[in-house]
Amino acid sequence: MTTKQKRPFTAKRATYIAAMTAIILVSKEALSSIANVEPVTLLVCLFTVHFGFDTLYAIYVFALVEGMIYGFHPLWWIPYLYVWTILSVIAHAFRKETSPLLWAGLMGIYGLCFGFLCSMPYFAIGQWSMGFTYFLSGLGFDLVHCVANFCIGLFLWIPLTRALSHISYE
Amino acid sequence: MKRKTGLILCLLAVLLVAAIAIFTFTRPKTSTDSKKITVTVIFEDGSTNVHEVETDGEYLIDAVKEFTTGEDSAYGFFITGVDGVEADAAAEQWWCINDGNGEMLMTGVSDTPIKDGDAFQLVLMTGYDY
Repeated sequence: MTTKQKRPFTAKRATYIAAMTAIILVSKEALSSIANVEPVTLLVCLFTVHFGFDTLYAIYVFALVEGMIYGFHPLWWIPYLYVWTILSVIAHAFRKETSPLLWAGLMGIYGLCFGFLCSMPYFAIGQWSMGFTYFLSGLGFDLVHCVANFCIGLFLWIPLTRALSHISYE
Repeated sequence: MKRKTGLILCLLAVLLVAAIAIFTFTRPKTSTDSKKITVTVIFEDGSTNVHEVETDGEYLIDAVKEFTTGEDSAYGFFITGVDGVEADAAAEQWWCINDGNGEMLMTGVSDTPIKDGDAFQLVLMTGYDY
């Protein structure tokens, strides 16, 4: 019987997680003036493919810092904890795939579903009508999010994958 | 790999068409007809100021821009002041937009369509636990 060796939490690994967090945060804030055009989806997918579930640490620190910037309102902050986690899990399931078209498609689907995922607390506190109203009111933004994610994925997946291929934990 | 890519793209296309259809059919209709709406401003101490507004505008922003201040953002106009009273962001104050029954709207002032006879409330709130 073989046992899976637990990877030690080295300084190098912590530094990579910090760098991932910083890149996600800075690039997200840099594009924050353009509604629903964000690089976080692409970066979470790329980092998950390259660094596995260490990306989750970066996601949670990113959510923590975003909360410190914008306030920890549960209606947006709690979704922030799970929406990126769900994306990371999906990206991990597809980690062997290399087609930029596939990743662009996945990112587009995710962008389209983003509002629905974020509406869960509204479904929880206000039942069906409140959640559905919230989802419908944001559907226009979700369409923009979908197209933006698709284009970002299509054009940046290959160059960023190449850039990341020079970096490894080893 | 090609099969998976095809499946993902097909799924995207189906979801996109469905989303566009839902968006198109559920989008509230707007009109440029003349309309009269009521906007009740409720201040922190409970005092009120009622504005009866006549406008041809399609959205709430067209009716309230005369007595509000704020900033344009990527998500539309963000009200920071009403009738000269500015919300103190440091004290977690903000202007909440309600319908005539006091129910908070899910849309911003730039995305809320108006029709003749509509009533709205602009309420100065403190804190984010609402």
